[in-house]
Amino acid sequence: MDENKQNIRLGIFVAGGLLLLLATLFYLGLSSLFVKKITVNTAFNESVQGLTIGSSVKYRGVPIGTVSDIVIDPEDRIIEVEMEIQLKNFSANGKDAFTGDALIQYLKKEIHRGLRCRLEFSGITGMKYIDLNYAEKIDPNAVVAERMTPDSQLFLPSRPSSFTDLSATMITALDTISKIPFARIGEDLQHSLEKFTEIVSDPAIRSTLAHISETAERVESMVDNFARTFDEQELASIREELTASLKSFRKLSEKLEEQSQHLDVAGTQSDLQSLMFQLKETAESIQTLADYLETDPQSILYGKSKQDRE
Amino acid sequence: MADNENIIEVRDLAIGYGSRVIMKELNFSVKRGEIFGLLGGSGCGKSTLMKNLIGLYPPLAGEIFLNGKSLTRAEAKERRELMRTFGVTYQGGALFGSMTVAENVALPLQEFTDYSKEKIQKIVREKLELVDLADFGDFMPAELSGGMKKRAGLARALALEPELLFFDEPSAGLDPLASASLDRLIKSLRDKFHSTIVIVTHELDSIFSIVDRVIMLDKNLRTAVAVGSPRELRDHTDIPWVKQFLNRDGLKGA
Amino acid sequence: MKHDVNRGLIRLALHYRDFREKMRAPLEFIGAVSGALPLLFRKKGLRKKEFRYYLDLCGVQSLPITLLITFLMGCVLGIQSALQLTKFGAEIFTADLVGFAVLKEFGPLMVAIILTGRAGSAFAAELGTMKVNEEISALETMGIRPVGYLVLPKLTAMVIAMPLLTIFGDVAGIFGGLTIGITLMDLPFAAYWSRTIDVLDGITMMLGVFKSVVFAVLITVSGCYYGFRSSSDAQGVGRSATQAVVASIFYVIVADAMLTVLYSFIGY
Repeated sequence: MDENKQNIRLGIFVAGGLLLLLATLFYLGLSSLFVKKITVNTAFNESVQGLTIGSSVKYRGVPIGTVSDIVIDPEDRIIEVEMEIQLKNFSANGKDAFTGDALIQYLKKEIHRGLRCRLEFSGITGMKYIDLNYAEKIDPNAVVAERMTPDSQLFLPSRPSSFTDLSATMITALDTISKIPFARIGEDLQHSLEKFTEIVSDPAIRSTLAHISETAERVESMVDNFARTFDEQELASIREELTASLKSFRKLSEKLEEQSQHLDVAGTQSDLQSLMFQLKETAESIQTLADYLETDPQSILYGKSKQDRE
Repeated sequence: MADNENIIEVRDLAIGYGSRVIMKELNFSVKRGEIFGLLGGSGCGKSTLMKNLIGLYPPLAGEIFLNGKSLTRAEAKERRELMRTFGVTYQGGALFGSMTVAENVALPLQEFTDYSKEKIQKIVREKLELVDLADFGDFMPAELSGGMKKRAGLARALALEPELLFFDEPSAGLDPLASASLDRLIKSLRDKFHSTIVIVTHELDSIFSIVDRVIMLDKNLRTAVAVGSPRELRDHTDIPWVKQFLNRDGLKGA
Repeated sequence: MKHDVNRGLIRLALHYRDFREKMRAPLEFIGAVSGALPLLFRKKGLRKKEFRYYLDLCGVQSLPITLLITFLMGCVLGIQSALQLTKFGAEIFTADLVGFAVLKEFGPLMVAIILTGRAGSAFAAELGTMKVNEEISALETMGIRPVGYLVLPKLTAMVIAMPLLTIFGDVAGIFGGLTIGITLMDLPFAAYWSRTIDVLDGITMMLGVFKSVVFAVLITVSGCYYGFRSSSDAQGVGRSATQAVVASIFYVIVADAMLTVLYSFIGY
């Protein structure tokens, strides 16, 4: 009796342990023995630092297999990588997975559309994986020439990794930047500034400014005349023209203001400022006029309204 | 070659551990069918001598013959076979604690015979009856008293029906009654089965009541000083300590 | 001068003799155990009752404590690695760390330590007691080789029980890490689980399980060796049990180091 009980206990222990072993082994990778997969080759003309046997292979980010072998071709220093790609991730229209041959045919077709292998970083650890993705433009020079592979195996061309690209770009950029003659540019700038100051302080410019202020006065008087002269029909067009000129005035004044700020010649600046002020006032009166005309168009004929006259 | 009358023949035996010699130049023989005592003061090496005789320790020099076959020079396998021809009863019985008394007795039968389970059970019952433990077959050794353990050990030693039996201090730790009953048992074994029996003991009662011949081991001389029947030695020896040893009762009385 | 050289040589010779004497007993014992191994294949070679008893003692009865300790070990590993990995935002790698540490080291090692305590010392004490009771002498005079008779059931039971316990322990340890991962670190169960399955492989696990077979042999042989060598008194039994535990743990750790180096040669 007792012995039987003990036998049962031992049986449970041993059988349980063995079952657990089988289950664990199955979970931890023996299952991969039963997974249908194809072998695909690629080659890299760059360092594969961080890529090891067992590294993932992903198709646009989806894990589809692992690296199964890495060898160096001593003749042309190219790293040949063998990958095992599982069939189960590829399924046409939700139907059954591809057969091995179908997948090879599919990948061949995709190579023509630009499908390339590329090394990518996986996380911060420096480990890498192989990403299968489509090159935006197929650069025939970047593709490693097709290599000798067993007949049944497919060769997937590779393209330089983004970090290789990036570092190349960086180097070119730095080269170009280093060629820029910053010292000369600085001198030229200094020179131009001096010239500009000279021009601004030229008497001719001053007279021009005086003219501008005169013109502004004239415009004011002209507006007064306009107010007395034109009838209502003409008012609309006048208003438009006025608005347009007002706009250009503003632009002009803004520009001038901008420029005046850069000028450190005190006289010119104060002259300019007063000019600006006048221009601004003129512009405001034109604006007021325009507004007034809009609300009370007949005033241009009858002068200001009765209430105002009384 | 030893003649057929002597079951044990010891020649120029030296015993001890490593480089330490305890006894040397031992020459004696044990006759078939007698009860032979190994006697001597404590620490003189009588237990060591017995362990040499039963093959547990290798002698430093000399030879031991069992039934005319050299135990000393035998190959390991041959020696194990020789060792199976005798039974040993240890001081505490030396029963295996993880087995019942019956299983202990059955062990040598299971190991060395091809007897069926039923036959083994029958023999075990017989042997247990012989040592008066018929009802204790299912007991564990820990549940037995000292005397019962010794008797159970004897039953195990008898399982293969050896013609030669060794007893290591059979009466040690037993009360006089139990000791006397064990002595009677030993004597009856010799009388019934004509076994030869070698006993290590200091119990004078046992010596005089059952032992036919003794060998006296001298601790200081490191050798045997006398061989003979205990009574003869007591009355006729001229070695003072042997006389004293065998006469403790008399000393007490005087 | 010449005198000194002579004295030195004599001392060297004595040391060598000492060393040879010291090595003799363990080597003899190992030889005796190996020599008894063929008995396993004989009809009466292995005592089935004893074997069952030891399998029960070392295996079934050690299971709960093994599960508990390896689970806690997994938790501790989980917490420690989480504390460090969180600094780098790499919490998910807790799965790697716990998984590998448990499969490669802590599973076999924890089981070895538990069984050293439970079985190794018990073997030494048992054999020591048998020696005190002259049971071993009795076996010898029955013409039975005590080494084969007494060691083989223990050895077989241990060699079967320890790998099984290691498998249980491995799984419990990984679940310990998982518990920490999904509670303290708020990792999703599926993420931790798939990461674990992803990075661990069967070979790593089998190599760890194989370690435990080696440990089983070491623990049993040390335990029995010190048991057989126990001096025939009550204190001797206790001493031999202690010696057995110390020696077992020492040999287990040395063997572990050697196996780990060996495994690293083959890339694991």
